[in-house]
Amino acid sequence: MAKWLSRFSWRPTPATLVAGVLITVGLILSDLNQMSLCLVALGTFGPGILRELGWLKDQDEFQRKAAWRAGYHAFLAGGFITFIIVAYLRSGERSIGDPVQMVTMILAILWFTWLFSSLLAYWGTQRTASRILIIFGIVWLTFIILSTHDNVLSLLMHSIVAVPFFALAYSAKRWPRITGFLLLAAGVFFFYRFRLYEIFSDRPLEKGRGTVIVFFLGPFIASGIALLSMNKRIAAKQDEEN
Amino acid sequence: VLSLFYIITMKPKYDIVNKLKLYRLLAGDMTQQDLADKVGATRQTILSIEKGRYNPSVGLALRITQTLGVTLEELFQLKEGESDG
Repeated sequence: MAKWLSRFSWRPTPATLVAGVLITVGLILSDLNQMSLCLVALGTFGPGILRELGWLKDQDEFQRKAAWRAGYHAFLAGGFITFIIVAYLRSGERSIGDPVQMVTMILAILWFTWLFSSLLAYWGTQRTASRILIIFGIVWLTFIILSTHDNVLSLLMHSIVAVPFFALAYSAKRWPRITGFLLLAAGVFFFYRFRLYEIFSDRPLEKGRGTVIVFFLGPFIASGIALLSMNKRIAAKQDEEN
Repeated sequence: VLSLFYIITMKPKYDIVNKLKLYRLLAGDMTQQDLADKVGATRQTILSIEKGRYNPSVGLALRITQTLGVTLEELFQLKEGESDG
């Protein structure tokens, strides 16, 4: 297991494992009692708080720097979007709807930015984009297998949709700039295909639209921009290694 | 927007190139994990330095040079033609 995890340049510390358990248990129990989301908060932010207080010393300088940078990026993205929402609300022209949806979206922005920034620091741009696309492809395939397992033809037809994800995962390592452009195009396509533009309607956050945009379009747009603007020297070096 | 933050803060103003992988292998085919253990870092850190994604602190750089028996200038160089703008 440890050897398999080391392929991903990731070796979780005991604190990270405990945090993972707290987050998982908290999410599972949230179906029964929403207060168990406090466990998720404890798992998500607890280790970081302990590290900043100096009571937990399980990271070296690179990991600390990556965590600080990811936290700063989350602050910038979360703060920026929150200010826009506050301005929108204070203008008094429209209601944002369910406040829980709004807060969940802000948390999603904070969490996604932090995670994406951390992945970029640990894996680099091309590998991050490639692995995100593979995860999307696998999730899609799993969803298709679970929903159309009784019809082989339908299963095969729907599985074809996963092919572009795997193709882009491959091309992210070979042709980062072309792939970056295609990812941005895919983001725009999905934005219209799944009517996510209704975020600009009178009920912007209905059906968890804001959170869907963050978790579904976020990886495409963020990976696309990162691939399009990655450091040329690092890109050349990674090309050689690939 | 998120990636732009990354680009702005991650892009080095000047390039520092290193020959860590070369000197690590010259030092008796040392693995990244071996070197990490000797200098008190993680394998992720050594990997990131070798890939040019992370420039170590002076302290860590000195520990690496000491372990590999090379000088700082042999291991790290400013890439010619680039300035700190």
